[in-house]
Amino acid sequence: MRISFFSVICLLLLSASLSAAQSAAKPAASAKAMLPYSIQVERVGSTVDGVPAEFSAAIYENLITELTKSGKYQQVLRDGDKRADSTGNLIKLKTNVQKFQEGSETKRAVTTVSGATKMTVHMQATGSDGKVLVDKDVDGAVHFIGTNLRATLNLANSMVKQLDAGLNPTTAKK
Amino acid sequence: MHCHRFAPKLLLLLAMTGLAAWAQDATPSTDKAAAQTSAKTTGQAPAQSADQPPMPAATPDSATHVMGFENVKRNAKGKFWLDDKTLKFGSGSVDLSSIQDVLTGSESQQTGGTAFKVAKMAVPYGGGRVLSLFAHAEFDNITIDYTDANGGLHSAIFVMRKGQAEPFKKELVSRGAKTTVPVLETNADAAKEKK
Repeated sequence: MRISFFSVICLLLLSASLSAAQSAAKPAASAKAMLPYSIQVERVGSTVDGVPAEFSAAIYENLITELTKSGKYQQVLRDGDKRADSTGNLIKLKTNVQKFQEGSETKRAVTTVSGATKMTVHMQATGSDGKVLVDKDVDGAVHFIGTNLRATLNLANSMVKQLDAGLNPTTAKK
Repeated sequence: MHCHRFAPKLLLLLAMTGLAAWAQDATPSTDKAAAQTSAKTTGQAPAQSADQPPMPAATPDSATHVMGFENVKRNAKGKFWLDDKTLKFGSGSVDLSSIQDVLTGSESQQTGGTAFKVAKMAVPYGGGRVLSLFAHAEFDNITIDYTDANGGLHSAIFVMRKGQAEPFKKELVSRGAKTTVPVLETNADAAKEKK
């Protein structure tokens, strides 16, 4: 009798957790609704001196990875991709580094308050008709744990969020 | 009484110091290896005669893929393979003629990996911070911009031991890769250029 009571409790718990998981999955799927755009990421430019090549490269690659991962665009194309000519509803994303301060991983590990790597970029998303859809400054930084290049991953994440908010205001956080 | 209470913490601190010392010992030996490699590549060139086989490519003995190289996972460690037409790393490969730019740089990173970083946080009285002072090393990085079959630009970043990026860039350029920054002849030139 005790065993059957225990098994009933287990079954109830299992069904409750399954229904909770299903209800949690529904909003996630709707949040990933695709936008009616394809996007082409252009090579990262710079208006300041002293930005190491690996930082520009890392911003570009992280941006492509994060945009692809978001699953909100029909296609994510790289700079110079020939398929862009035949792609409809294409957004071109230009990124320009405006401020850059290279920190030190060792300083961060030793002091925890100094040695941060910080950068600010200006991003501009233009539609196929030349209309500017998103025009914003975005910051990226690494303050404590991680290599200097981690700042570019944080930056790419912020850029994808800002881009999403600009293109699809209904999903933007209030 | 107090000694008895702090003994385990002291032991832990000593163990961490030992680990840091081991990490420090490992770094110069890699530098030595890098220096030997570069000495081999620069020193053997004049002695090469017509009947000797051609020099092997000056590829780094190992590198870590940070990001951007197609079909290779991030942070994958491996070795470059270079022939007359292709550059290979792990399961990825690119035509040398598709390389648009090769750029080198250097940076200081913490050594010891994630386990060591977590262990440093566990050291009491800020001992982990002291260890961080000693557990870092200089690395070279190389950024390779290349185009894929559709003309799309890729930027691959690799990290390798200090002193290996510039000879590797020289080797790539000599085999047909393009670069916007001229190849520096020696490490001293590289240092001057950085300043």
